[in-house]
Amino acid sequence: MNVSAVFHGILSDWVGTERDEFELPSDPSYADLLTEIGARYSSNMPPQLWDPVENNFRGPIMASGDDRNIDSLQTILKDGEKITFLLMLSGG
Amino acid sequence: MNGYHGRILEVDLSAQTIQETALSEEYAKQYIGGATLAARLIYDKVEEGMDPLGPESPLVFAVGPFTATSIPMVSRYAVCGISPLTGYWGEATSGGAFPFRLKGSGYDAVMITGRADAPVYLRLEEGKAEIKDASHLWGQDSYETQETLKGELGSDGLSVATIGGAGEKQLKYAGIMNDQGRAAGRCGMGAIMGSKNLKAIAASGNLRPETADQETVRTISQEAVTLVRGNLLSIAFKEYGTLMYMDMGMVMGDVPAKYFTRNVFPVEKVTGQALRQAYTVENYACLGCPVACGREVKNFGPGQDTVDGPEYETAVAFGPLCMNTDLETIIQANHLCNVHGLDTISTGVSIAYAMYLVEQGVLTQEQVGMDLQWGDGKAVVKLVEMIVNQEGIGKILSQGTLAMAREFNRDPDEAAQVKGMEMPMHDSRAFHGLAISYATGPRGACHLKGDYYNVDMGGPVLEYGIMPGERMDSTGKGEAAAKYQSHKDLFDALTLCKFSPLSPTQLSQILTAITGWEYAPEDLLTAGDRSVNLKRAISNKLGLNRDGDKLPKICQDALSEGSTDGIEPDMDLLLRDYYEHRGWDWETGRPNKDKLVELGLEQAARDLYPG
Repeated sequence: MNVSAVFHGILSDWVGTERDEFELPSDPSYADLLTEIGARYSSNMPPQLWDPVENNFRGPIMASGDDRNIDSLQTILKDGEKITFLLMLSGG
Repeated sequence: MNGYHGRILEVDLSAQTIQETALSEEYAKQYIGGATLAARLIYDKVEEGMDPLGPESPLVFAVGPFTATSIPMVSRYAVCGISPLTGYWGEATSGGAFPFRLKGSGYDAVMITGRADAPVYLRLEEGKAEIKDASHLWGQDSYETQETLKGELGSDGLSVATIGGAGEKQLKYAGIMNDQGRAAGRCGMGAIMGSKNLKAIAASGNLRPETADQETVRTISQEAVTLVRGNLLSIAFKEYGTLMYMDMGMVMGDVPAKYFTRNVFPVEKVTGQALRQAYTVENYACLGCPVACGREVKNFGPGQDTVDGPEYETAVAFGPLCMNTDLETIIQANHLCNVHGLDTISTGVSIAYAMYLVEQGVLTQEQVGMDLQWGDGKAVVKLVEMIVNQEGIGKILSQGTLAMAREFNRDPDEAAQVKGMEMPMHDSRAFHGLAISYATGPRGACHLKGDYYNVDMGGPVLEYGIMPGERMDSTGKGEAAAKYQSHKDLFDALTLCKFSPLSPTQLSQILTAITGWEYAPEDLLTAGDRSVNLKRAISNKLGLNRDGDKLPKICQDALSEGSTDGIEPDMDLLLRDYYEHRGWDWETGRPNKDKLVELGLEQAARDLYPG
């Protein structure tokens, strides 16, 4: 099944892409998506942003899917779902 | 006294006299420094009905115990007085090198009263002070003034804080510029300088007070630098400046557009990334700061090798708020404000209000002097020029939105301001903790004391139990926002940058190591409470009551788009919660007498509750 990831704002600079598609096994979890993201892009990201051991964002990230927030690594993603990643940094 | 020179300079420009007074240990302990120490000095001078631009009106420049130490992100100063924009307590802060030089000149604070017969500047150097002729500087813009004084006095180790034409003309939101384009922008402190015929302060020197425990300060400084450098927010600021928030803010419904009536806008055209793609951008750092969030645009245009900024607030005020997607005109408008010393927030909001009034059919093309339409960046630049030159509609725009509403017989709830000071570029509908902070802020609508968005986007203050919550829920936010406001108010006493990631525990350890006096995190929160209440008492003396603690409807009523669609803060709930936690009287808007006494503000208790 297919899941797309959108990296919003300055996150796209740090990840190295604004959007990508991921072919995942059936009933994939959010953790599976993160593993794939890590495999493709972890070398681009600053160490403060990505934890290569945990295969997860280290920084404050909000991930939202189709009409829902993804708040657990075990969340099962839907076929064709678009996951938008937003870096929760503020100021200015 | 460790951490302090123990010297306050008092300058009377009418009498052309300078005298030094001692900073008492009691004042240093109670009021710490910076804006809070300034508030204590100003408190005794304030009288009901005082004209902010009158000769008796005091203006205080102050640094604090952190200034010019090895702690990162502490090169800031405060300048305080009665705001000509609001008529109440006013304060502004700025970074750069000037704070180091001011501290190095040997004074903890400089209080200026009176009015010189002719333009003067103040020269501070290694414990000496002198009033000097500034006739040749009057009429020069802020950059020229800095250059001229550095040419005359030598640029090595010298820094200048100055007004431009806006301050000379006493425009109500004139700011003070230092170190090229750094601005103490808000509240009209530049107008007070202009009213005193004080063009500039030129400071130099390397005097440093003793430190109680230098080894601990050094150790904590190194830890703090490591913490700052490793902080993701610092990295984002370094790469994109404060503009890094633009697109995230838009997703949150936090970036106001079209004079606060919309929050959907093609924001990608005015982000930090867009700025980097379109221009050669370099970083600017305040002295000793490892972050360098400041922007400098290189080779902007003929004769403009380097243009400072724009920062987030400015880019939104001249961009989305005016529906302007053109970075070039945003940079031009910002540069004009820097050159002439105007607050970019009040300027941008006033221009956006003019655009709104044109759309409403209130202002005609004839009155404005041009065909003013949303999104016209060139018109934005033209209006800034008209404000500076006091030309046509620029005259009324220079007085702010509340004066504009009165002039055009409009509902004051249409004026985007609190207590007369224009709203910053974070939308109060997106964060209800921000909404109550705006309504109650010591200087009017202030995003620096009430940046509650930082809490609800995942930045708790653990020591004070301030935890992230549902950002658009008003329940319980009044108390949390009051605590956070006190916490952030103290930053301006310590002269600490608002972006510093240091915790209250670390701050109390640093203050203890510098001064030798024991501070715990709860002592700092009490000091912040004291500061907020002291400033409130000053404004109460000047006539402020609860009527001033409100948001204008234009910034409160729910929008019908974006992530705040249909949502507005419950201001009554928020305000009652806030007042109860603060210990303020619901009828008068004054701190209760017991609260003032509890905070050691006995004089204010006597003044506000005579007999």
